[in-house]
Amino acid sequence: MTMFDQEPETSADNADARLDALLSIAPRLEPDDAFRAELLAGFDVRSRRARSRISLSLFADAFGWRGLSRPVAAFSLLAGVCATGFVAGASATPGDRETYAALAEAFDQSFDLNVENANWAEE
Amino acid sequence: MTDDEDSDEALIVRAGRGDRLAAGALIARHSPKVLALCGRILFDRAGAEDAAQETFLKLWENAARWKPQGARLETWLYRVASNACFDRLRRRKREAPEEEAGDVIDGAPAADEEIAENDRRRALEVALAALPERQRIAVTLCHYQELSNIEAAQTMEISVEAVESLLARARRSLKESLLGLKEELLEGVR
Repeated sequence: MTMFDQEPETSADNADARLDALLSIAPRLEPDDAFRAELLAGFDVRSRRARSRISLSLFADAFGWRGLSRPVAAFSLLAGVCATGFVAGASATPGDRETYAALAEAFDQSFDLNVENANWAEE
Repeated sequence: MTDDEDSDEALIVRAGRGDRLAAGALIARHSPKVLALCGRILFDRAGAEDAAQETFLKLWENAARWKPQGARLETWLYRVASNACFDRLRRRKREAPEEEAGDVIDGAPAADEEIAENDRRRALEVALAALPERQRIAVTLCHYQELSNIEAAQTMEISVEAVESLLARARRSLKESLLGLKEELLEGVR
């Protein structure tokens, strides 16, 4: 192998070595105390915001039921309450319905006047 | 056991519950590397600090529901920081497209002056800044942050082969732009 054959390889090695050396002098930013304090202030802001938000996860943590903190679980709970109310309302007994009707009539502001009119007409 | 001896995962869980000491320990442990990464991608202290701040804010937001998914916290932080830097680079390009290429150093100026280290740094900055974004991030992660190619691939969410290809192209471009410099410029770094 001649010197000329070796030259390109040596030159490539030199180029690599030079590049590595040059890359090693690149400046490195170091965080100062003020910057660290800024990062911690960001944490404080986020913590305050989290504390001021009353969420289901708070109750979930308290009762140890993590599933409640998921949005789907919360909506399911709400839907369950509504469905129970609807079913309970629909399955009211006839006696209850009469009571409700009487109560509704009692709350009707024109009830007394109607009764008076009816009585007067009868007389 | 002190905070510094705690694992990242334990510290995140505590930070997620509002533990300030744990957050401080995470900042002390990871902010130097995150800031260095951002600085080497953006070449601008203010921009790098903004990107690092954004990265840590995302960490606090995710701390309460943090789940280790195979990736280390460091890798996750690098990924978020790289994306934050990407966004800033794109914004810069939109705002001042002509400045992105930088002043190409051709070795002509300052031939007779004494070349200081600052000049070499500047030359390197310009050469790195001229690289496409992903090549720059690959060089920064592998060379400066000393991540393995596998870790860099995880950080950049690409394959190891793609990282290797980016590095090879970056080194070729850097050699072309830097090795054209005058001998005097490179003398001090041999």
